[in-house]
Amino acid sequence: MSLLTVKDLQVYFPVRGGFFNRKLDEIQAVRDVSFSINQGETFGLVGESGSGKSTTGRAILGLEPQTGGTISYQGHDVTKVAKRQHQDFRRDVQMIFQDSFSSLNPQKRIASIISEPLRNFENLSKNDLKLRVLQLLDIVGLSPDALYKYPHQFSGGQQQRIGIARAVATHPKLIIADEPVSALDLSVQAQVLNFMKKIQAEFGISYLFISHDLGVIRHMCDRIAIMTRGEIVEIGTRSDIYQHPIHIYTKQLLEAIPQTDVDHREQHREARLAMNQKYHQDKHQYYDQQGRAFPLVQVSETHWVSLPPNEALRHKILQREEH
Amino acid sequence: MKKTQAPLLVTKHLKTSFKINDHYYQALDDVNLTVNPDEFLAIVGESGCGKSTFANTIMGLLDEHDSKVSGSAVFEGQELTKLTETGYDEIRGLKLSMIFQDPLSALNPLKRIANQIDEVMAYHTDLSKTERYQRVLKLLAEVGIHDPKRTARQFPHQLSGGMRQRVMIAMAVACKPDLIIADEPTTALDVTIQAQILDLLRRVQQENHTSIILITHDLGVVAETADRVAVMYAGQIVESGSVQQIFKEPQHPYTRSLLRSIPQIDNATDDLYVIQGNVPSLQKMPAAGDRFAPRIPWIPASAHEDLPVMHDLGDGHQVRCTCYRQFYFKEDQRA
Amino acid sequence: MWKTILRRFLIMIPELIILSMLVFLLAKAMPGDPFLGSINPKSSPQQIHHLMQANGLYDPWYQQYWNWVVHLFHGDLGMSYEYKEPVVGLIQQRGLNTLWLALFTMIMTYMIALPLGVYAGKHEGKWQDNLVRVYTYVTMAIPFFVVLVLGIWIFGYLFNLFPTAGSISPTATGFGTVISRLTHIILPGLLGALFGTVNIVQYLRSEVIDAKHSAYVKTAKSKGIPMKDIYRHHIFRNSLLPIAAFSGYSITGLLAGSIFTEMVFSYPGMGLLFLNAVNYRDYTVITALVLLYGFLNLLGTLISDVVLAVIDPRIRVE
Repeated sequence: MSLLTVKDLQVYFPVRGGFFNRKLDEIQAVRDVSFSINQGETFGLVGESGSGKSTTGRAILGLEPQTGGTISYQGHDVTKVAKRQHQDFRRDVQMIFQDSFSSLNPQKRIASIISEPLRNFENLSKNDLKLRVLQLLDIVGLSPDALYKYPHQFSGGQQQRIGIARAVATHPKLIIADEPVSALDLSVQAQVLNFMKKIQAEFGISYLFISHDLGVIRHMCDRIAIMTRGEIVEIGTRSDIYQHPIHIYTKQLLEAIPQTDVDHREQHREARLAMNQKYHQDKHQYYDQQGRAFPLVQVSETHWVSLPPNEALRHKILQREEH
Repeated sequence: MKKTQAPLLVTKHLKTSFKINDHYYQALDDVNLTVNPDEFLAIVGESGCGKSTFANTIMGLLDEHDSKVSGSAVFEGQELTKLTETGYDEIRGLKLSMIFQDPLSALNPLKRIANQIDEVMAYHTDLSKTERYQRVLKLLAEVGIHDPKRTARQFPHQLSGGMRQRVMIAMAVACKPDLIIADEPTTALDVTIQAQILDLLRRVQQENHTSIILITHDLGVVAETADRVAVMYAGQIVESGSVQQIFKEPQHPYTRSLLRSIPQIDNATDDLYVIQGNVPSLQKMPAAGDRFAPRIPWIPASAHEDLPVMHDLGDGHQVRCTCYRQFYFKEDQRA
Repeated sequence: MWKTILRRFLIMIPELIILSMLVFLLAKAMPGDPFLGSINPKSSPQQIHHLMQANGLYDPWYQQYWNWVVHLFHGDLGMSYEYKEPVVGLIQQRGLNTLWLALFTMIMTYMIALPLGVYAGKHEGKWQDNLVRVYTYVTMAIPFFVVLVLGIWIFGYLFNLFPTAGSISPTATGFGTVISRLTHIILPGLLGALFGTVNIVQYLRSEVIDAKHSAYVKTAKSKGIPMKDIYRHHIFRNSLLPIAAFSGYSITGLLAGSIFTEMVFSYPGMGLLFLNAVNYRDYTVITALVLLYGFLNLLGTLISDVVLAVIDPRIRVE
């Protein structure tokens, strides 16, 4: 059974204007997004700015109003915010933000920042609380004297680790990480990513890892969904996506990643330009008349792609032949 | 690239210090760099390494009240460190121009795109107003804007991030400068847009025979675009060479460590390499000794120079300090 | 854009209705009655009773309110109990006086504040900036009425440069009336302006400093534009934007807020009228003036919004 299942999630933002400030239109930030995250896995959500990936993450936590769809956690429907208390959803699902500094109260010491979720969800004595906070600091590799410091006294990487310590304080089962390393330097990024992997191995945490960085996603994620214009166009395992991409959007996105292979950079550039041209020629085939992606079609056991009807049929036949 | 041509920009022992609470701190130390005509040079390093300070020093954009520059930077025979503000105004925009990281804040929100591009030509050319407008349209078309007339009339907030950066590039190349400094020009952009902007920069460089100094933290971007690379750490250049030398035979421990910490296909499941410790802050920069030494404590102190200098490895490949000769990764040793 | 402006206008209607109701009820709740001054000890309770009845003061409040609104739409705000004149006429005549004073004050305010603010911002942290700062601090620290009284004493009494009371000399004729009006508003206008500059100077100073350190100014510098031209083409315009947007509040604020000046200078404007009306419980005048002040406030917001929409392309809807 999957840990979290999101089905047909919609988040629409009204566009107001005109004479009486009526709702004229809506921005469909997230349109019918469905996916599920299994226990202990890292599920990546990739897309460019405006693709709706962050909105999806925030909507799951109830930080954005949900227009439609269902969210279920451990088989229980938690779409209605009122039902979440019951399922320990608030304790079990935590978030790590891109900019930790602004998510840490600048007037509070680290001890009180990290212990806050513990005080909210667990009834611990003062001593036990302090012990837990010290444990958490140890897990994220900060020394005990961090307890009485303020957020601004730490570097960006350390702040991000404090954010992680706060997120794992309640032993969550799922952490939604929204661009957790985008603001960090390469060497610090490596540190934070390693930590995230370490605590995952230790506590069996699942991640919803939201990022625009395809290199980081490849390093971190077991399964990946590619999002564009509010819709998922391809879902698959790491090798499905990186070795056998099918949707044209995925393909051109992958081609755009800068490579450190200096010997083949001309070839890479040509391949990218060719891909780009193909993308502009063919992309309309991958969307219907309203500009929406076609429904996802299963092309292998783990791989789902949004394909036009004729292509979809072809893949179905191919699959049947394989079996 | 003709080797015989005189270099465009030569810096020698360039130093920049900032005043914080009546005390000067060195943000840039002993930078020796040569930029040749028609060359694409990348300066790469992490935040706080001094790469942006270098750009601002060359462009003369530092606040003279709280900064101090010493050493020399000669651009087309002119000593930049001794240039007056008026002297700078004559070459900035005309021979030397700059592209910034965030094109939204770098463009005046209250002026139309056409005016902002026109401005640079109004100060540096004798073109009439209509000629300049024609050139604005031509420039916009050259940087890949489909409807130049429409964009020319628009305000910055009406454009997408990629479009804005194209406008910035059009502005930078308007007077066909000899050197363009691009400070993290693609950091705020999506990966597909980034690729387009880098292609555009490369094209502009080749078509106009301009030199470009690309300042970035992204090694992938460097590998895709640069001819030559300078790696900076804690205010100093620690290694410089051709893009092949830097990526295929990196020598300095910092360069090697950085390259190792990039998430790659072949290290997908392993832990990423982490450089111990932190970058020293401006106030705590050691006065002597190798600045990278505290981050590779397993290398004996005797391997480092007291006052590290650049060593020539041939073919234009240079590396700071002698520690590279004895450097190894601790993890490799254990295995 | 016209749609936005029209909408803003329509929003004002319910605001005005609520405002007028509040004003009316507040006036009713004030102690005393309007005849306290016009009756003498010999007036019999019957006479007072008749007066009250004739003026509709026994009707329920909503009836009185309705009558008042109906009259309002006919341009009739009733008679002033104190002056025995139609309120509209009173306000017209006094309002004109205040308008001249306010306009003059505003022009002087901007003429002093804009150069000072820009100058201080340009020389941020240097002695020029400190000098301006001293000026603003001193102006801010001295109570306004002290400034006014001092001003009258120095310029009116010691040097005898300006008249210290009234709005026009009774002997002036022809073109002389204009001169006379002007001499009567110079002193209160200047002193009011001096006081009004403080906020604008400080605000403009910080706007200029912000603009000076902004990325687009760095871009302009990197284009080789001389600093003095950058000030002209980039910094001034961008930092004046919020000031210009504030002008709507400024003018209507001055119209409504000149009570102090008018009192000290015995300048027969709306402020003085209001003060007297409160003293004599001249309900009709009070309600009319408070309503007018409220309306001016709403109008000020509207003007500011419209100005901003016109000059800021980010808000302008195309």
